Amino acid sequence: MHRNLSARLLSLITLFFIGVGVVNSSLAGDNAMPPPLPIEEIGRVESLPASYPEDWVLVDESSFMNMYGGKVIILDIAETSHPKRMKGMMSKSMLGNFTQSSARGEFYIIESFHERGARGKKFDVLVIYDKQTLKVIKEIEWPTDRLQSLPERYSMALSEDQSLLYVSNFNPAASFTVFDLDSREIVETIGTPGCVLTYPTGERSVTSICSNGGLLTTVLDKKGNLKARERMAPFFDTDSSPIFEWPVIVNGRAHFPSFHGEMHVIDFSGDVARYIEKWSLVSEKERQGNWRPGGIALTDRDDRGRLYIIMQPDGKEGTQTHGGSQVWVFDLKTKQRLRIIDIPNWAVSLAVTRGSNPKLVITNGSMNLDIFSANDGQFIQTVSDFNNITPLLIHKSY
Amino acid sequence: MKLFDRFFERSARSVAQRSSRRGLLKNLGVALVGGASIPLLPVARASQGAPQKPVEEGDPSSCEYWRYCAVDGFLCQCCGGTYNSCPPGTEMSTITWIGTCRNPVDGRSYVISYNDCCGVNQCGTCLCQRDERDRPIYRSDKSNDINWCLGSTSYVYNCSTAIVVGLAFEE
Repeated sequence: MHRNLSARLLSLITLFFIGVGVVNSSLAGDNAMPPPLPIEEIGRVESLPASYPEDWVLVDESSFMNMYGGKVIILDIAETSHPKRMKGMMSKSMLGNFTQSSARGEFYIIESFHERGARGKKFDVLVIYDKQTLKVIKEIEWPTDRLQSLPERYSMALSEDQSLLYVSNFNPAASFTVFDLDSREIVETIGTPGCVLTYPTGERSVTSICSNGGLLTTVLDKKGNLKARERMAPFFDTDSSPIFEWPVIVNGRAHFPSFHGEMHVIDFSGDVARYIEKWSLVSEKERQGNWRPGGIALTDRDDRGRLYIIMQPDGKEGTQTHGGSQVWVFDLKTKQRLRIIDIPNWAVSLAVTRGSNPKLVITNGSMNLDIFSANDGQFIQTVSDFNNITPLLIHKSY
Repeated sequence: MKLFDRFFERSARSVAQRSSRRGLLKNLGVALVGGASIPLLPVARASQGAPQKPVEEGDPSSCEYWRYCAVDGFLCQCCGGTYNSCPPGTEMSTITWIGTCRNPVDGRSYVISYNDCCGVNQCGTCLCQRDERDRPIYRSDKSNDINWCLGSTSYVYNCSTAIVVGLAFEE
């Protein structure tokens, strides 16, 4: 046995040296020939940094033309070289909803599947991803019907300490489910009759927006179980003076723009939501020109707390989600407009990246992304050809 | 300028190439008179003497058609169905959102039920977004942002119909 092995080994070594000799002699005859490529490892998969660069964004691609193909695409929108822009993606089937934890290094997607394509039993599944590997950490089959709609920034949210995840449900009874991110277990599903979405409030509360123009705050105990419910009286008329469900939240204050240009300010810093005030985004002259907010994801903020909002001229009933030709930038403390940024290719949605040199990311009328410097409004570049169909919501990265 | 400009332009162009308004009116007239399953419009019941037939006009494959004032989705008229029926192989959603649209011919406002057709896949053509009196999802009864296939066997959205379900109260 040993003798046979030794003999085989010897013959292999001999063959190797003969081979090397052949290669060397052929190289010796041609000095320009480079050395052969090194043998490469099969099975390598890239990973991403624990902290994403400020110019990376997460594109919530609802894929309206093929909803099985929804996805979240990670993009470097400042990169000028097309092949280097896309960093990875996660699937998000049938208008799935997305949110992320800045502290836990995790992404959360709740999505739906039928057993056999469009047929068979429907499943809703919460999927927890590792943000560095984009691998699935855990899947949780959902006990009820999660909200399935065009993307919403607050269809899911985290508690202040990022230990609880709140997930909106709708079937069409409205509720939300509390999920414990430490134990990876569902805590409870809590009904929110007539009220939808999950705006994080205080340490352990969730505020939802209601069909009567008021708000409902659900107060939870430490474990995430229902403790109390508080309703805020209506502050807008859902028919005649509706608001957008897209607030920017700065220092615990939520700023909800109305269809006609008022800004309602709600205090979300305590256990229960509290109405503070309203002010106007538009002057009297602008109101006469029917300058109004308009778009899908029409608001965002930068790290300094400045508001960015898409505005449209000649607005009227029916144009509220159609986008606009300008972005107005406001200081929310002074309520003063700081800047108007003209958007040449129309704006349907927007987002603002982190840091001291933030980028304004616009989903334009052709469903590509136009990138501007948020500080001075300078156009930088258009980002296209990234498997974009309907990129209606853009998230900052952390 | 409208949302999904690219889609609108593409849809409008292809519809213009395929259809003629006169032909569609003729077909629509046949459907309204001869279709036993299609309820007569309320204007017919209310009228006395001639004319006896309810009246509406327009191209149901065009986003500008009067019934589509609050729609957001693919028009079933372009998908193998019609403005009030679903394409073969799909099912009509049992719950939905409603809008109020004015029929330019008789000047009346009608309540329109935008039942989705569900199953198979997205129709993917004649995307139309009008959104008049559409409201965010907190007014779910008036919101076209929700996938209303949620009550159907299949949750897969295919296209949207626009069915007259009554006269609206006068404002």
